[in-house]
Amino acid sequence: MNLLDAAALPLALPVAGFLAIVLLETIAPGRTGRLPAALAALSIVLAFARLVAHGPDGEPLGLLADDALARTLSGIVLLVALAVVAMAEPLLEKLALPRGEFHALLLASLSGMLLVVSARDLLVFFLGIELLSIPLYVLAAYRRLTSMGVESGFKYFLLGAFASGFLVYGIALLYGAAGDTRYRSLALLAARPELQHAMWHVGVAMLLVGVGFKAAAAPFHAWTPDVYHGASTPVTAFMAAGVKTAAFGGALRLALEVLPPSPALVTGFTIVACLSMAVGNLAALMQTHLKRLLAWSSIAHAGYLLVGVAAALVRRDGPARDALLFYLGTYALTTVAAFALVLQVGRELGPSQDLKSLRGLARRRPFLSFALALCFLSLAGVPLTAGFLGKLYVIRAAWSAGGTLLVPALFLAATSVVALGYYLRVIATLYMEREEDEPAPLLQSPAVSLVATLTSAAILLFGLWPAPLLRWLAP
Amino acid sequence: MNDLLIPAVIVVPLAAALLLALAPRLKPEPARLVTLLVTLATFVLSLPLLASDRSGAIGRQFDAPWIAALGVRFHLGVDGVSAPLVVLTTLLVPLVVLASYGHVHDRVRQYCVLLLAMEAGMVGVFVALDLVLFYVFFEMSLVPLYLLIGIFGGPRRSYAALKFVLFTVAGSLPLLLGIVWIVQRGGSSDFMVLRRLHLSASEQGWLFAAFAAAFCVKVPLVPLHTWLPDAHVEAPTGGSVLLAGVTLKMGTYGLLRFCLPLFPNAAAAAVPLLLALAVVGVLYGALLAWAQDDLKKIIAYSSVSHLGFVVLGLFSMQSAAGAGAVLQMVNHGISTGALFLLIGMIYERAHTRGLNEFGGLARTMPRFAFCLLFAALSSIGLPGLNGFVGEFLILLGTWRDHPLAAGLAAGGVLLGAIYTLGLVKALLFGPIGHPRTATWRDLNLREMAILAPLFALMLWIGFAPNSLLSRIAPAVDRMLEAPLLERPR
Repeated sequence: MNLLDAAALPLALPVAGFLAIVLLETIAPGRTGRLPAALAALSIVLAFARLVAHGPDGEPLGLLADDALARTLSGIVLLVALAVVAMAEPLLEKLALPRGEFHALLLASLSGMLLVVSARDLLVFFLGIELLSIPLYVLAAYRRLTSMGVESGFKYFLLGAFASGFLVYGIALLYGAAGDTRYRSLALLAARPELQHAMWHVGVAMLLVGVGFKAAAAPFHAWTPDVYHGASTPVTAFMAAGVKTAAFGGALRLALEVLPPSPALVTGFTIVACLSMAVGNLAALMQTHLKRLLAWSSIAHAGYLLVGVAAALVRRDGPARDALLFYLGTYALTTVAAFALVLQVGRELGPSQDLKSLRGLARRRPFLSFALALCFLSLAGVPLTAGFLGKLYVIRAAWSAGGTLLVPALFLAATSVVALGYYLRVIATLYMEREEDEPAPLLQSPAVSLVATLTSAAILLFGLWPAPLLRWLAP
Repeated sequence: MNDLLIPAVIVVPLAAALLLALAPRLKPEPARLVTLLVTLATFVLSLPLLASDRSGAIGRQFDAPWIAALGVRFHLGVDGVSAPLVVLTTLLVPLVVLASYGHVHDRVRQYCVLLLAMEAGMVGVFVALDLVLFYVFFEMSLVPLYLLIGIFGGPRRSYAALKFVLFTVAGSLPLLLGIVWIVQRGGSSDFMVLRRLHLSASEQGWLFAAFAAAFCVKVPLVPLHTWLPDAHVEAPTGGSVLLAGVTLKMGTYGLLRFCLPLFPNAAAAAVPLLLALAVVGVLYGALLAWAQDDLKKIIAYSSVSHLGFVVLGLFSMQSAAGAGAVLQMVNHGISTGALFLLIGMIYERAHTRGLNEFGGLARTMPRFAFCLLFAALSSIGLPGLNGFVGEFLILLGTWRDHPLAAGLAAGGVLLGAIYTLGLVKALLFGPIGHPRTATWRDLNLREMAILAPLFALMLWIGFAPNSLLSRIAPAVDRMLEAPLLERPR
C-alpha cells in the first residue's frame, strides 16, 4: 500500500508528527519548550486540512476505508486532539511535567483512533485499538508522582489489557469461522445464518465485549470513574471525547458493514444500552466530584449512543447513521467544552475537584459559569443547545427503526429526566449557592480559555442554527 | 407572505437577553432600564397581532427553513387564540420588571436576562406552528424559570425549583416521543400539514395520551398539581406572576391547539375523564385554597381551581364554552397576575405572608385596599369585570351537554368567592393585625402604575368582551370542528 495514497495521508501526518517529536526529544531532551506542542498542533491541522480537501471516495475494498463516514469521524477525533493539545500545554507547564513526551504519546494514540474509524479489516481494527490504548495507559498515569495518577493508569492498563484479550480472542474465532478478517468476507458469512458455526457467534460476542470496554458501556464500565478521576483533565477529555468517538465509530462501521441485523444482536445492544443509561444516570446522581459525575454521565451517554448503533444495525440507511454521527459530534464538542471549563475551575493545581468548589462561581466568573451551565444543559439535552438535537435525532432514528428499539427510545426519554437531576445540581451549585470563604485560584491560560470559549459558543450556535454542523457531520 | 412581526416579538427579547448576558460589567440600574425599555418595545410590537383574522384562520404566518435534515421549519403563526395570549405575555413582563424595583436589589442583571429569555420562550410557545419548534419553546421557558425560582426564591427554593423542573420535564418527554411518532407518521412536523393527517383510533389514543400528559402537568390538572404550590411559594414575585399568568396557559393552550384538532377522536373519548378531572380540580383546588393561611398558597391553589374551569370549557367541546375558556385563560393571567403583584407589594413591606398576621389594612393603606378588592372581585367573577364573562360562558356552554359537570363546577364559583373574600377580609378589615402596620407606606406611584393597565383590562374585558371574543370564537370553532373518524363497526 502506498503510504501517501489518499486514505493513509491523514493518518501519516500525525505519525510523522509523533516521529518528529520523538526525534526532537532525543536530540535536545527537556529543552524543547513549546516546539512539541506546536509540531503536534501543526500535524493535526495539516491532517484536518487534508480531510477537508479530500478527493473522491477511495476504492471500497481496501483495508482502510476512505469514505464520508471515515472522514467525518476522523475529523471529530482530530479536532478533539487539537483541543487537548491546547488544554494540556499550559497545565504541563504549570505542573513542570515533561511536555514533549506527552504530545508524542497523544499523537500516537490519535493515530490509533484514525485507524479504528477507517479500518475495514479486523486486524487493522485491532491494531488501531492497541495503538490507541497503549499510549493512553501512559497518559492516564502521567502524573506518576501522585497516587491517583498511578492508580488511574494501572487500572486502565489492567482492564484495558483484559478487554484487548477479549477482542483478540474474538477476532481469532471470527477468523476461524470465516477464514478471513476482512469486513467484506465477514459480511458474506453474516448474511448466511445457515453457514454460521458456534465459533462465529462467540467471536462476535467477544469482539463486541472488547469494544464495549473501550466505549465504557455498562456492564463493562467499572474502570471509568476511577480512571477519569485520576487522569489529568486534558487526558480525561481525550478519553471521553476521542476514545468514545473512535470506539463508537468503529462499532458503527461494524454495524453497517459486517454485523447481521439478527434479533439476538439487536436485543443484546438494547440490553447493554438500557443498562448503561440506567447505571450511568443513577450513579451520577450520587456523585459529588465533578470528574466522577462526568464519568458516570459518559457511561449514560454510551447508552444513548448504543441506541443509535442499534438503529443503524436495524436500518442500514442514512438517517440512523447520520443520527449517530451527529450525536457523536455534539457529544465530543460538549465534552471537550466541559473538560476545558473543568480544567479552569477544577483546582487541578490544588487538592480537590469537588462539586463544592463551584459554589457561587457565577458571581466571580459570570462567563465561565454561563459556559459551564450551557455545557451541562447540552449534556442534559435541553433545547437550544446542540445536545438537544442530538438526542432528538437518535430518538427519531430508533423510533423509525421500530420494533425492539422502541424500548430503548422510551428508556432514553425516561432516564433523561433522571439525568436532569444531577446536571441541574451543578447549575444550582454555580448559581444558587453561596461562595466559599476562600476561593482557590483558577487556572488562567489563554489557550484553555480559547478552547472553552470556542466550544461553548459552538454549543449555543449549533443549538440555534444546526444546519452547518449537520451538513458537515452528515453529508 | 412572511410576517416579520411574529419572529420579531421572539427575537427582540432573546437578543436582548444574550446581549445582557454577555455584558457582566453593566451596572444593575442601566440593565434594568434597558430591560424595561426592551420589554415595553416588545409589547408595542406585539399589539398589531391582536388585529388577527376574524375568520378564525391562522392569518399571519412566518415560515423559514431551520433544520433541513430533520425537516423542521421555523414556522410561526397567530390566530384569535394565540394573539391575546401573546399580548398578555408581553404585557406582564414589563410589569414584572417594574415590580422588581421593589424587591430585586442583588444580581439584577441576571434577573433581567432570565425574564427576557423566558419571555422569548413563552411567546414562542403561543406562536409555534411546527411541533418540534413548539417543543423547543416549551422547554426553553423552563430553564429561566428554574433559575428565577432557584436564585431569587425563598428559603426552600432549591427544592421547589427542582421539583418544578422534574415534574414538567417528566411530563414533556412523552410529548417529545409523541412528536417523534407523529412526525414519523405524517412525514412532517408542520402543524398545518399534520392537521390533515388521518390517524387511526388507536394511534390517536396513544398520541393524545402523550401530548396530554405534558399539558396536564403544566396546567396543572389535579393529581399532577403538587409542584405548583411549592413553586409559587418559593418563587419571587415576578416568577409567580409569570408562572401563574402565562406558563400555566401553555398547558391549556397546548390542549386546545394540538390535542383537539390533531386527535379529535381520542379527545372525544377522553371527554368524561378530563371533565371529571377538571371538576375535581375546580372543587379540590378551591377547598385547598380555603384551608391555606399563606397568601401565595391561597392564590396558587386558586389557580388550580381556575385552570380546572378552563379545562372544563375546552373539553365540553362546545363553541361558547371553548371561547369562554380561552377568554378565561387571559382573565386568569390578568387577575392572578394582579393578585400576585399585590401580595408581592405587601410582602416587601411586611416580610410575611401569613394570612392571620394581617388586619385592618383598609384604614392604613386605602389605595392598597382598593386595588386588592378590585383584583379579588375580578378573580371571583363579579359581573362587569372580566372574570364573569369567561366563567359564565364556560358554565353556559358546558351546561348543555354536561349539566352535572357544570352544576358541580358552579359550586367552585361559590367556594372561590368564599376564600377570596375571606382573604380580603383578613387583610383589609378587622382590628390591626401586625404591630408594625402603621409604618407601612401605602402604594406609591410606581406600584399604582404597575396595576393600572391590569385594572383597565379587567374593566375593558368586563364591559366589552366582544372585542376579544369576536376573534377568539371563530378560531376556537376551527379547532373544534376537526373531522371525526367514522366509528368502526
